[in-house]
Amino acid sequence: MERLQMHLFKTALQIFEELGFMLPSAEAGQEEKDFSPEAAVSIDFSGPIKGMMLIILRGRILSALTGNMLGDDAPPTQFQREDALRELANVICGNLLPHLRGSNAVFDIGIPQVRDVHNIQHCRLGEPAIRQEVALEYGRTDLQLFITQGSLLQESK
Amino acid sequence: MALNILVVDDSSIIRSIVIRSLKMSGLQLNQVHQAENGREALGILENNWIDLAFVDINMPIMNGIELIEAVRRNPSISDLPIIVVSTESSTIRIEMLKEKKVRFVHKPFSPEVLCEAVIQLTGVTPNGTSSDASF
Repeated sequence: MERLQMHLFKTALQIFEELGFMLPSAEAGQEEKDFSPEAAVSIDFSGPIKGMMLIILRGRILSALTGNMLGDDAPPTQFQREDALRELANVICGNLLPHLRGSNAVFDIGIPQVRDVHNIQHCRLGEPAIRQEVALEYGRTDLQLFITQGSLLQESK
Repeated sequence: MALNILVVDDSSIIRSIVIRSLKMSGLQLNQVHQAENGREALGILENNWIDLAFVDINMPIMNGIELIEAVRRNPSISDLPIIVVSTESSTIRIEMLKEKKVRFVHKPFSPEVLCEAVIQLTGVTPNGTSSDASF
C-alpha cells in the first residue's frame, strides 16, 4: 500500500509539473498550513478494480494551474477553471491506474465531475483506500482513492 | 506544406495546448478546426479537407475509439492520419489503437513529442518540407 501511495504522490507531482508548470513547495511547513478549500473534482474508473478518485485543491492552485495551462496572463473564466480541474483529474487518474494492476490491465475512466468543495461528504465512498497530500507553490492538494470493487492488495510492483 | 488540422477533445484547454504546441514547434498550420466529441468531428470531416486529426479517447457522446472506427469505415476519409492524444496507459489498448493505423501520444506531452509524432505520421517538418511518413 505504501508503494501505491508513493506512486500517487509521484504521479501527482509529475502531472502538476508537466501539465501546469507547478513545482512542489520549497517552503517548510506547507503541509500543515490551513489553506482554504478551493475546488474539488472526482473521477470514476472501472476495470480489474472499480473505484473513484477525489481531488481537493486548497489555497490558490486552480487559478495558477489554469493560467499556466492556457499560457495566458488574463484571469481565467470559471468555465476554464473547471475545464482545467476536470483535465487534471483525467490525467492524474489515467497515469495512476497502470500502477494498480500493471500496464496490461485495461481500465475505463469516466468523465470527471466538478464537485462543490464545501459539500463533498456526499460523494465520498467511505474511507479512502489511499490518501496523499501534495504541497505545491500555491497551496496543497489532497488526493483520495476510493475502491468500490476489488482490492488493491495485488498492486503491481 | 501548411496543414489543415482537426483537434478533437472535450477539454477546450487541451485543444488549445495541442494547437499552441504545434505552433511552438514551428509546424505551419492552415485551417485549424476543433470538435468537442467524435460526432462533432465527423461533421467537420464531412465538410472540410483535413490533413491530420488529433483525437482524445475519453469523450462524451462519441468517444475517440468510436470516431476512429467510423473514420476507417468511411472510404472517403479512411486514410486520414490520426494522432491519439490520451491518458490511456494500457499496453493492450494502445496496441489495439495502433492496429487502426494511428500514432499515440501520451498525456501529458511536450511540444517536441507532439511534433515528432506529426513528422513521423505526415512527413511534414517544421520548416515546411516533406519527408517519408510512416506508421
